[in-house]
Amino acid sequence: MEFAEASRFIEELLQDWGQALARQAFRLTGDAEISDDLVQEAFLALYQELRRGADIENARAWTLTVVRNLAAKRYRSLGTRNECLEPSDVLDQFPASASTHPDQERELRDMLGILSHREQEVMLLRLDCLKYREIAECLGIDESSVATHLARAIRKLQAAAKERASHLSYARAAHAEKAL
Amino acid sequence: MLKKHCSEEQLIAHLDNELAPALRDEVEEHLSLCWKCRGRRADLENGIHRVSQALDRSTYPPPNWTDRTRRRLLAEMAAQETNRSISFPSSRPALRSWQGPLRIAAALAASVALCVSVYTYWFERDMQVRAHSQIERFVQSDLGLGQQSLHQVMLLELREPNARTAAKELRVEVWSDPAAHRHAIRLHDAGELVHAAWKSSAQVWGSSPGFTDTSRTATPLPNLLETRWTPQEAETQLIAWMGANAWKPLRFAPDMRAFAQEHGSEVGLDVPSPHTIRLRASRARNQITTQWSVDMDTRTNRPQSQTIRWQKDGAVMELRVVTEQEELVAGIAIPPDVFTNPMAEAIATLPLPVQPQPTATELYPSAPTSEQLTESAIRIEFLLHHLPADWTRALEIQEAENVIVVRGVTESENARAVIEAEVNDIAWTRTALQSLDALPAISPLSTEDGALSVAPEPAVESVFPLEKELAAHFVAHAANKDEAAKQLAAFSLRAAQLAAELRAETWALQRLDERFPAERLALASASVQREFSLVRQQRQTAIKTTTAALRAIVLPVFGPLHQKLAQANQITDIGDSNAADAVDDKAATGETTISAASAIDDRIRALLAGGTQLDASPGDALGRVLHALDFLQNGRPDEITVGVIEATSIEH
Repeated sequence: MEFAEASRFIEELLQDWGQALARQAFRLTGDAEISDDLVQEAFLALYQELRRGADIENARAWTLTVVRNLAAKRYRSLGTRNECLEPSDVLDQFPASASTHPDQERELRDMLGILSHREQEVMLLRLDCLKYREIAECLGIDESSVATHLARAIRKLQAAAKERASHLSYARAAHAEKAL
Repeated sequence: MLKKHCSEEQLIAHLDNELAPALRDEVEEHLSLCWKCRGRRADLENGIHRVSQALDRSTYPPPNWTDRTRRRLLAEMAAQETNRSISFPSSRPALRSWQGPLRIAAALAASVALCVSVYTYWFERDMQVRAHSQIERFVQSDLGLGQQSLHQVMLLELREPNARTAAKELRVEVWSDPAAHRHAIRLHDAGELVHAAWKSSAQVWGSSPGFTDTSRTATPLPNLLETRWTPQEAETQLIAWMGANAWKPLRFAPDMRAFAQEHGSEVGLDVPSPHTIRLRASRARNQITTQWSVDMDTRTNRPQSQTIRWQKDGAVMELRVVTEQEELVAGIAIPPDVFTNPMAEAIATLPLPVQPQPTATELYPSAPTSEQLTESAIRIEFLLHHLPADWTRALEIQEAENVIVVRGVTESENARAVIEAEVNDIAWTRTALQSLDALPAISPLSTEDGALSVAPEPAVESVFPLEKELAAHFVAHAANKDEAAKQLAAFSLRAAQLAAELRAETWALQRLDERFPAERLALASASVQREFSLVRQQRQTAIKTTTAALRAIVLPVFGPLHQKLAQANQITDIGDSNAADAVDDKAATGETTISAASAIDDRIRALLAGGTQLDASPGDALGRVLHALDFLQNGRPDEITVGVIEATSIEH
């Protein structure tokens, strides 16, 4: 691909997909600067591939995979040197509190924290207004399972919200039962 | 139509408009008849809404993220292209036919060429890196300015070197005290004050009309001015550029960096004197050549002067910025009066139009100061919070520049009312509080302009689908079936109304608390603060009263019903309900029934609070009330007993 064509492609992809990808990176790393770097690295890698003449069918999925791998690699190099882990293994137990967040970030992180890796991905992409078909393509999953993941995620979130809300009434209910 | 209840996947896909048309029609038909699924769908919607609100509040990625990343990427890509063009010709096919000395000569020539190209490459690369790193130091020092108390004086000169029109000379003075959130900027043209922006605290601020829109993203200076070819035209753009950065020290470096990193820009540097570095960047685009040069003091990394020069055909335009003074000062050394309106005195002597509106004269006896303005805005909001809850639901407050616009609208079956108040720094312009009397159908505030978001009142159905048990209960307590149907309809209507009232009141209370955090209230006078606690109390009382009313009509009906079900010891749930799953999940995790009971307790609370505790968005009120009640019906007997007892204990 020629320089002009490749750079136009990259610019358009950045416009449509950059922020969504950045949110995914931030979810994985919890650090704004590192997320910026990961996204940039992914886009540059894509650019190099395009310039080399590679045919990339689904650029969103491709860059998301790169970001995921880079984040996992980063985590591996930070923590235990367990090279046989798959990215998803690592990412599922990625420390959500690895760095300090402002309160606004913590709220979202706390919410997403109770979801599985896949559910987080699906939920964020849904909030970035991707169609189910696009989400499925990005994540390499079946289109019909997108709604399943979403439903499960929401159910977990609501259960957690309820748990918090019932914190007070919990004690009172216990008291009432004792009285019985 | 679907025979069973909708699955959660179907409901979510329906919300997201992702169902296949045929299935969508079936689901919609089912939803139109099944309040239970409507309630579940509303729950799911609220779940998504909550996460999306959290996402909205999240500050990453920042608003300028895409632009910033694009610039970084383009710079990186351009750098890679440069490397690519100078890279060694390793992929070239070997010259197999070459023989003997010819081959050696060729090899020699190639290695000389190689050395030259490597040398040139490294040399140029080194220079380029140094220029970029100097620009980076310039940027860092510029960004660092925002952290400390600062006083800047700069001379800005806009001119055409071939002098077709007169040059413009502006002197800009900036004071910045970030620790106290105090900032001020003043522009003088030929000794006369032409523009100012001032901010005496995080809340109190003002500016002259030249600084029109401080919130928009600033266009980089070189792009902004390259279409303006007289100093007078360029001045307007320059002032707009400063307006967009009004609460910061005057900074050029970020724009210069963006310019230098742009694809196709040439960057370089000279050292004209031992302590001066001259950074140069230039680009040619759309037949316009733009050159930017900065003379930087190497000891402080601060610019002494900068020149941006645009050239198109024969025409030349030049902006020259000379730093006359730039010093860090202790916060206390800044005279406090620079942070107030420099034109306040002049305004005070203006003859202000006085409109004969009692509310207005009461609110604004004379030209308000910024503090009074804030207080006025708070008072107007209070006024609105005294109104019925419906009003506050449609409340819209815009704070832009020095104008605060407060608008509210309400619509009921036989009346439509509007309130509109606009306040600006010089005079109040309009305050119109119209009574709840019927008004013409055409309102000056339409929802079409997007300024108002009027939450539609959920339609209360006069007849709703009955559950068997509920019907049986009413039949058992009525003389005949017709009577029972009437009673049931009246019961559900009243319950839904009360639930809607509760929701509105709770919403209004939340809104009140959101709008008036302690720090904002602290700005208001004591009387306003008293008024605040009074309004708050009224809202709380209303919530209590409505709660009691709702309980009074709901518990007599459902209390016996639960007892009956408890005795029958049966679970009537169809099997896919959330509620039953939630109970099962808890049992599976080994928690005692208390936790499930407390979940029921929550449901009761949700019911009594009109659904506000678990979800705050308006929706199908009736469905929600019944959905909450449904949980009571379908839970396990022993848990229900605890739940009901707990609910009763709230009363005492």
